[in-house]
Amino acid sequence: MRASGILFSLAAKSLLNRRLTAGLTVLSVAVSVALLIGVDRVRTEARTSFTNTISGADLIVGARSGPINLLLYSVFRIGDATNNIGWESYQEIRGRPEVAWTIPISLGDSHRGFRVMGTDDGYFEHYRFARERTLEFADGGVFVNVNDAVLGADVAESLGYAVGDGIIVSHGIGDVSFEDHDELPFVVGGILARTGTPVDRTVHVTLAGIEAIHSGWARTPRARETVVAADALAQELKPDAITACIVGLESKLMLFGLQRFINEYAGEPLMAIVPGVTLQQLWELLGAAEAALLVVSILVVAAGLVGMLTTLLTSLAERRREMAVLRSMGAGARLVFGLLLAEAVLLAAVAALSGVVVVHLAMLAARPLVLANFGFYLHAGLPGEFDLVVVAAVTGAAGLLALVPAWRAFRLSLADGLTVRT
Amino acid sequence: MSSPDSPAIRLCRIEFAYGGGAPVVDIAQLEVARGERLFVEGPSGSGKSTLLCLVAGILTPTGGTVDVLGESVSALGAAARDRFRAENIGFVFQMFNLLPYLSLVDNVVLPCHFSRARAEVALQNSASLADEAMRLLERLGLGTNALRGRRVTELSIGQQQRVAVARALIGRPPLVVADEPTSAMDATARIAFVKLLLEECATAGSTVVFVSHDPSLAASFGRSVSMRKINAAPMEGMVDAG
Repeated sequence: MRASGILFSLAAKSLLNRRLTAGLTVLSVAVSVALLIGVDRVRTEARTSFTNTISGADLIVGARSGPINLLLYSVFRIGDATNNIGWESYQEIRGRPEVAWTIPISLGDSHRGFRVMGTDDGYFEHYRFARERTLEFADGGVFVNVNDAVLGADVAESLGYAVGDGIIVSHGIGDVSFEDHDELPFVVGGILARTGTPVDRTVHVTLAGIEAIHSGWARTPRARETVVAADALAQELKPDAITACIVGLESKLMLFGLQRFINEYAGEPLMAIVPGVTLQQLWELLGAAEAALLVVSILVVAAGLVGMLTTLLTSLAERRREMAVLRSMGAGARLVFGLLLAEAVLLAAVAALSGVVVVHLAMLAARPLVLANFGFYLHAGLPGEFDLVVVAAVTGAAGLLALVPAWRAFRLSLADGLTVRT
Repeated sequence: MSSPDSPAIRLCRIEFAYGGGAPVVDIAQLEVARGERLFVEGPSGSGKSTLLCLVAGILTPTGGTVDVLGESVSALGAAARDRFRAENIGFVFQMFNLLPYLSLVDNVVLPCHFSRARAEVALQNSASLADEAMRLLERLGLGTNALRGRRVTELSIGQQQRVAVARALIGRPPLVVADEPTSAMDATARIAFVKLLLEECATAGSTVVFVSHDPSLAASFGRSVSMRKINAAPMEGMVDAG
């Protein structure tokens, strides 16, 4: 029939005519949908991003503390180490026959809000992320001098550094530090290509460089930098300790053997973790919180839809006249029923779709902030399967809820006929 | 469908009561010939609106038969009655005839969305439904572009009622029913409106049933009946007054 064709056009025009209430309804449902999708998106993005941040590492070794804590500070630059690994212990692990390569990690300093990590060339050779990708240089190259620094893409971009620029490292972590290690300025020797991991926000320097500034800083108050730098180079500084190290094995079969050796190491209390296993523990720990967040966002969506239901029910009283006019032209009570249903479905569909758009734009905007504060990279990709499911579910739920006002309108229009008894 | 020699309306011993209460309509016999202009006079509460609902097939009588254009409306199912109304009857209400969210032209075209037959007739006159709506509006003195661009809620009552007439007449339905369409107008406007309505219905060849409490309008019509005389049911709220 033609009548069904006119249904959605009437519904749309009627909604447009009430654009203030309809708009507010759309807004509240859209915000709730954005919240729901946002929560899910951040959850899955956090997982992929964390999983992608470190690949190819068999063990991570640090001072004995919690495994999750070790994983967070060593790889994701979240939180701080409680204790260090002695240089001798590191050398012993490194020398084990099962060990193919190691990457030392020395943390604790910062440069204008970005964390500084002391390491060696093994880092650029062995570090893997996003399955099999290696670190690549956008400009410059690996460490040549003690005071060379290699910057992550975000560091270089947001501070406007190029190869050859000098930078000063502060002790401690934070934007403002009163104790600048200005005795030994570092020189930017390389800038890494973007990785989408915390590497982008890290200033990499040599272990010897870190040691040099700390020894200089400890011994002489305010000596001229060149003197101390030369001195440091001459002394061929070895660090006393490092924060953690990443270990690659000759064979996966040796994993548990080496892990036991490290965990039972007699020299000092150490701990070795398998990154994948610890990430799994982290997800389990966060699982309950995630579920709670998801439930809350579903409830918010439900509240939004109930708000829509209220609006539709309230509008019925003032629309009885309209229903009578439609009936007089031969519209069945079923069309009146369908009109209310169509309005609800249109409202919900528009709201859900705008929610999806909003959440993706918001994620695009929040990306740098999230990377800076939580160490993971939000991919604001195209809407995925979950978004479609949410749009369909919200629209469907709206249709179901709208059965109430639709039924009421149906009954009213049957009772009213052509004359509204008020 | 309807046979051409049958009367436009034939009511036979109809009775109607709301929800098992006292009957509000009890009419032994009423017949309206095709092309006739009938004026039905009666105060509010005399069962006029209920009578119109029975004729339009919105309500079905609790007893008796309602034949419209040869079709036994009271015997049809709900969906068939809706379809019959869409095809054959144009309505003009007391007030608030127009959907506020549709344009002038869209309001006039609306019945054609519910009736293929009326759409086809409209398209015999004009190239498009919108053209036909504009032609009708023009005949009713609402042709200026300034009016057409306005929201229907910005029109005066008289203008709104004329739009309602255009809507009732689009596609030339055989029967036009008007329920107190002049009650919100002043006396001069009333006479002019009734004249216009009757002229247009004559052009369209439609039978007219015009219901009003105002007996002064009866003179314009071919025949006039009083609800008090034809309706044997006691008037609402006056059961004891008799």
